[in-house]
Amino acid sequence: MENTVLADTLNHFLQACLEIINQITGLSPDRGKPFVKKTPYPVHHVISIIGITGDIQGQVIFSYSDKAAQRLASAMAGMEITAIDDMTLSALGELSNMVMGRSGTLLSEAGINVTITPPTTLTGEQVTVTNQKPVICVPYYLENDQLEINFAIKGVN
Amino acid sequence: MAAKILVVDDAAFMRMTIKNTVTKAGYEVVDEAENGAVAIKKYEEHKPDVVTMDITMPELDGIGAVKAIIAKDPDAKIVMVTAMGQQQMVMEAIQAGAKDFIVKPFEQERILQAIKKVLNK
Repeated sequence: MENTVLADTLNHFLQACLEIINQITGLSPDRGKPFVKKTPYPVHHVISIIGITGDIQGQVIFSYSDKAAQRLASAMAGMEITAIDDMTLSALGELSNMVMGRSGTLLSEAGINVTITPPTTLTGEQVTVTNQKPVICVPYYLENDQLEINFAIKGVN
Repeated sequence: MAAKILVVDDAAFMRMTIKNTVTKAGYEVVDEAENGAVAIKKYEEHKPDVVTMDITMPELDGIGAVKAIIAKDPDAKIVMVTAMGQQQMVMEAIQAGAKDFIVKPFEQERILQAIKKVLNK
């Protein structure tokens, strides 16, 4: 994928991320500087993986620190959540799903057609992820709490 | 008698959210399904008045489930509730037989309006 096309494509995902997080949680995370990650790479305690096919192929891995996970899930549920339990994981999986769904809509408006898989959300200590493609990481900050979106994608020739 | 709703979504959180919304509005959630294959079985079992149906699900997606349900019950009232808002997806769902299409995230009132509208038809 050429750099300008990649940048435009990523911008659709990033726009969707901010729109969806703000719309359903009222929170506006600050975006950090994107960077390339070598694989395998460590991720936060909670991750949500969504596959993408069509004009773009690969995976998007959402990685949430415990505090970011609790904060986002609390905002979605409308009550304080202090545990990373099954319902919290489901909420974060759904958040990732909505970000990717919105991304798909924005991409289709730009003539790029994709479909997404259901999210796989899991939690673990010292988890590392291996992708076959180079990974572009976009960090977000909710004050001191962090989430990352890792893009392992190709396509859009 | 309260209208009977079947809630279909692979995310337990979303099923809970929809269930809470429609229950508060006076509807009865007769059952839930986590994928399209289970949705078909639950539809046959309960014959709900309305189904809320996600699209992206494992086993069988929502479009496939809509087609199967409509094939057995052409009068089935199915409202799509999905994160996938592409024009193509909307057209596929409506052509499959869905009566309305709601894109997540949605306001509570939107889903209640959709259910009320399909029940009044």
